[in-house]
Amino acid sequence: MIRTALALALFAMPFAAAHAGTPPLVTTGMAGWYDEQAPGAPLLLGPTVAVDGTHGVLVGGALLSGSEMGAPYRGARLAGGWLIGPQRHLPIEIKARAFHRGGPADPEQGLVRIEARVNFAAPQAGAWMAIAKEQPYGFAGQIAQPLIGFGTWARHDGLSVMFDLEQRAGLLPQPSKRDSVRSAEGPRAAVLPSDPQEIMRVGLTSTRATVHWDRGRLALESVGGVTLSLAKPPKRWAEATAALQLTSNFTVFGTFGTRDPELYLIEPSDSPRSSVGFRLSQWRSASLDAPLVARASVTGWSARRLEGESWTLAVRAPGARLVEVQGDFTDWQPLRLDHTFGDKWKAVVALMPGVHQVTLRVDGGAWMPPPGAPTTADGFGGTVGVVAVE
Amino acid sequence: MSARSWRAACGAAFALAAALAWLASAVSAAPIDKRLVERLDPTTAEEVWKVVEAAEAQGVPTDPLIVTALEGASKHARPERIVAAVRERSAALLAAKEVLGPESTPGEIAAAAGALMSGVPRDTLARLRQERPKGSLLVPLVVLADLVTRQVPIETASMAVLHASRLGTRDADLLRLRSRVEGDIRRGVSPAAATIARLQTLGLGDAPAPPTSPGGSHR
Repeated sequence: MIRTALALALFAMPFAAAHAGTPPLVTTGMAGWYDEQAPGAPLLLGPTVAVDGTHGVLVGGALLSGSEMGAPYRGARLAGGWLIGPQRHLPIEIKARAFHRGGPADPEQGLVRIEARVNFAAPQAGAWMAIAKEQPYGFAGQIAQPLIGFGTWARHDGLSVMFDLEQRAGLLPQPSKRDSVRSAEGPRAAVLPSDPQEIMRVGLTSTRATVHWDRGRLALESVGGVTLSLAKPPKRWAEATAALQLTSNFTVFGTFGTRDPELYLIEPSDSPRSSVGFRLSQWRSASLDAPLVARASVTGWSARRLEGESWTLAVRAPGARLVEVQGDFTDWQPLRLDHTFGDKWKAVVALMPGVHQVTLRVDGGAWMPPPGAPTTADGFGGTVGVVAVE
Repeated sequence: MSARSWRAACGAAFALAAALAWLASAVSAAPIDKRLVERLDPTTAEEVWKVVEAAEAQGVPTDPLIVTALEGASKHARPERIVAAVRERSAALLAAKEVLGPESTPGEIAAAAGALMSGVPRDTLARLRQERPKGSLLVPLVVLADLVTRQVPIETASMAVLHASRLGTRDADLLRLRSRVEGDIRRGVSPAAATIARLQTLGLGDAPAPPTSPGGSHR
């Protein structure tokens, strides 16, 4: 039931995103790494595809071994986020994600999860409270419902920090009876032992901190976390990523470290890894961890005449996923700017002599006058920017 | 011709005239702008179009009216609010045209309408035209509307732009003044004080004292 609902929700997200604003942006990418502990074929490939709409994001990825025949495992993940009421005081974010692995020598197992977040958002900082429901399958264990969590974030110019905490409880087999999700050897037990003496109750507290910085063509991100449990020693992990934009649609990146335990669901081992990859798109990041409501802001803008009635609108918006402009010259319909380099975006528009009203929007947020532009009343109780063309 | 056939002929002629009049009105009525039909509900589009046609008959630029309706649709304004905003813009455009004179460009009229809607009095626009009888008023009007939008008292904003125009300030310098006033306001300086101080530091000589105190009316 929950899997069906999740599949339908994820399937509908790109269409809803397209309906809500400008057409969604599609990103493709690939990462590769070598994992000595992965049995069979240590060379792994991780293709990804992302659909980014004004108020929604859908990310899909797969994990394939280098040798199809010898692959002891294949994995896939699908995740989506949708922002409801982005202009309201308490916007709600619906997130869903699913992990699945399985193959000839690997029993099918995975996890589906749906989460609702209530956001308290200001332009430069915010917090959220979340409630989530998880439905694992193919594992010997149960997760008590519901999960609860909270998080907070802040951003200034190209620097952003985020912290989140999640509390869950569940039932697991005693250590002697428990199989590991990281083991790739043989089929796994899919049910809890019938003897209550062989079952233990666990409480898990997961925390995670993220620091992201980008300037120009370079973006650096460091993510670390720890999972605390009464039954097991603390599980710590940390991963660093560096991304360099080479052209407007081509970015290379490299990562090093250990991954979020959630990803072990589709990965063969939890050993530290180094990976390299590339992304083909204007989109800077395929991460769904940051709240959709945590948006970048426009730090600079200019309007310059190209020739005749053609003008270039240039915008600087560090960390933005999406920048749009609208005004009388677009018949008040959103026009997506092209990402050129780093934090720079631009669009070429036709401006006839006269005065033109203009507003900008970043990452599906509120429409605002461009910073530094003259303003005027708009007749609907708001303010718009003005461009004067002689 | 008998009285009976005379009445029949008159009736036929009347019916023909009525049909021709209906046909003429149907032919002469321009179709509603496609953009309005696509973005507004039929009733609102029709109401807006009536305002547009009336404005056109008065020689007022009509594209700003259509764009205002589209802006309202984009901002999810209620239909009655959209029609009211279009009427308000139409009245402002007509007033601006009357004040600036028939030689004014559509851009100047649109900018002046924006200033009027921001609260700038007609008298200020008339004096601005007197100061610049030939030159374009586009930039002074944009700066004036911006200062008023940023809570500079109307009297102070009017004085600043009129004074700058009287001294033959170039448009680029006027835009620079606006930009610096905006920066000062962001740093916490009161809008009126920022305007007066920047007017004096732009090499425009001693600016006249504003007619009201900095804490005066704000539109």
